[in-house]
Amino acid sequence: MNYDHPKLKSSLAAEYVLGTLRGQARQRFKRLLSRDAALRGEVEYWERHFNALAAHTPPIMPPERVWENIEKAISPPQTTQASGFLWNCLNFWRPVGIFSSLAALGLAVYLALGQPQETTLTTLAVLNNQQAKPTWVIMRKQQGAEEQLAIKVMAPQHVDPTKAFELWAIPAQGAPMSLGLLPMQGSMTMSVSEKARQMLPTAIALAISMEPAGGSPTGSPTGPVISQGQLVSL
Amino acid sequence: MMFCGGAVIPQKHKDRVIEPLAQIDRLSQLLARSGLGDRKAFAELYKLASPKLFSMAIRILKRRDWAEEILQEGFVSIWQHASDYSAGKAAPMTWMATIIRNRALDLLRRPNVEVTLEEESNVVELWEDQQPGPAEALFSSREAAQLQRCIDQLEGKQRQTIMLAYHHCLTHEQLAQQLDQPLGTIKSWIRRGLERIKNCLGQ
Repeated sequence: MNYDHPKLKSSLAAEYVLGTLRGQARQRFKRLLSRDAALRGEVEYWERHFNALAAHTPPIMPPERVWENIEKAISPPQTTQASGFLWNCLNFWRPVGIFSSLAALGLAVYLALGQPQETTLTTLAVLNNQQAKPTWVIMRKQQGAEEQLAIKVMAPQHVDPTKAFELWAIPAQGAPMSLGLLPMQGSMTMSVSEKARQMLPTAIALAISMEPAGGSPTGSPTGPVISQGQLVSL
Repeated sequence: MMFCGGAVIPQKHKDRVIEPLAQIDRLSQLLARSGLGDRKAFAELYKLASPKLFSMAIRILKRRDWAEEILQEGFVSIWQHASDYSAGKAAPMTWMATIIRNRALDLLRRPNVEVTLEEESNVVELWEDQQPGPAEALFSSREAAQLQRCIDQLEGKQRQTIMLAYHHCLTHEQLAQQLDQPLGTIKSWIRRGLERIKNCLGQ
């Protein structure tokens, strides 16, 4: 079959999504998909439309065991307390070159008590773009002693390259504090300065202002505020 | 005909209204948080989305045990790929439905799997003589509304064949048998119907 014919491609993509492309033909088509971006675009086009109808069906509650199995499958591999401990203390001490395992163990106990190694998510905000679409999901993460903001852009943003979106923490009283520039697509993690770390727990909201590329020249918002979002504690 | 006019939403159309804007936003947020590794958000996402997706899987596979298997594998895959989800590309429910539907279709392809149509005898009538769908305003997913408008413009037989094929994942042969038509006729109804839908969507 001549797969280069655009009309044939479109029609195969449609039948693939419709579900009538079966057996060998479906397999062949899937192999072709993996190396043909235009064809993937065609399939995505049909999926976006047809599969918007897919779940228009009366809900049926799945049995509890399905979720239990999913939960099991996505849990991180279990490490026992002891092995986790040893791992942490070895990694911590190897570069420093101290070989006394006893001293290391003692200090590791101290460090482990002082610094939870697991990442904990504490607060969350969802901020809209100029079209009032929820666009940035911002989470405060505690990674050991370090505080970070994990940011995920839900849909790529296209703005004038001379502009940037700056994220601010708004305290109940006093001036907003810059937390950094927001990404326009994908995900990123940014570290939180010591000053911002102390201020964040008292912040009542996050806001985004439009600034010149590189961020506000004054340290305070200079451009229009395009979005504000409340912080939700988790 | 049991309906009095276009304004009346037939019973079988009522369930089309599933993604009001607030729910789309909620699902998008939960997906984004799942992409950042937030298990609580993922649990809520599952709670909100799984009943519809389970129902969809049962309709395709006609067996609950297979539907459970597919739902389970599908949600593990949704968790693994949540960070790839982009709200600009598809509505969240559409994106999740695509993952689960494709898995279900792959399962139907396995050599030892055969779906029987015995309990399906009434589905043919279900999609027969469909009245035009409810007003576009009822769809908050723009793509669903567009598609429904285009499907409603098809001739009765084309519409019925395409809806049967899509919602019940019937093969060309099964469709020919169910609709009592030669295979070639079925294939051409589908091909022409899809072409017309594409032209209509492009307008």
